[in-house]
Amino acid sequence: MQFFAGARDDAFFFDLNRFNAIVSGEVTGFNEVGEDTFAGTNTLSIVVELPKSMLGTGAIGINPNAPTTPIYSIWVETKRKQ
Amino acid sequence: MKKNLYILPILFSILLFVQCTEEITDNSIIPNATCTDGIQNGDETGLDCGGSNCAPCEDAIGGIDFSGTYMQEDQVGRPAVSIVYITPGLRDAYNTTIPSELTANFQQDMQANLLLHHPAYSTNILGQDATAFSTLLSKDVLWVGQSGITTFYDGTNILTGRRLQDDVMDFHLLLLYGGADVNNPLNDGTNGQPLLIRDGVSENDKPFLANFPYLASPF
Repeated sequence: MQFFAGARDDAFFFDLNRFNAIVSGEVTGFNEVGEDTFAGTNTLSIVVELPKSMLGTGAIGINPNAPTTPIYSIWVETKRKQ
Repeated sequence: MKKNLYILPILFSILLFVQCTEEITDNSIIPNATCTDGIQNGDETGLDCGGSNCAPCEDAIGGIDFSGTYMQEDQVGRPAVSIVYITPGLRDAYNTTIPSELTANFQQDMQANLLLHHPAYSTNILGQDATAFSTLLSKDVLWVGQSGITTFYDGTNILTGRRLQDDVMDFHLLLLYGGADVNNPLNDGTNGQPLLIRDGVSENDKPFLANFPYLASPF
């Protein structure tokens, strides 16, 4: 297993500003060439790498688009000390 | 404003003074913190542990004290689900709900917002009506296949994981605005239609790394 924590380039890419303009009714659609709202920004990142074999097996859930392949369900939580 | 600025120092002076007075006269205040008084005081980092005098807290890891109670404040599985499909006033509640309870509490709100974004929504390339699609979205976990190809969507494999380079937002937009036929999608910018099924940003601004930690170096 490998771990990393620190500043990295923001890995998300999306024209969020244009999407918000669409939702608010200012414009009707995206541009053919959009602008990555997150370009040039960093995030504090945690990266954990591990082989899937360490997670065990068994059907946690079903992906109806690939029903014969067992899946893991993954999410992350942020918690604040009370 | 000037009046307030003048009053503030006076108030602080009063508070400080009262505090000093109480320590002297109130017998319920213990002046010297101990490691057995059942109170987190002095420079203790937990109850009767940590700090310069007491034994380290048992759950301190790497010098960081993780003792105490932590409450969920945010959660995410698939990208951008809450910001697109959850009513702004409900997002704090959404983010403090565990995934197994999300569908029961938020599917209806997500379906309403889905139809707000795309009133003519009928079905998508997964064959889902508004109820089925919002049900899928509402349990906000990322599916990862225990074997096989890992991708959010590569034209063939659907929601078997997520690679950094996957254009996840274009797939979200395709499901929301693209209709049932992937070869004849709606809202593709042609024939007077608005362009809604892709945002025109298909890759990150910096290349990802081939090796760990994969994320590009910071600016």
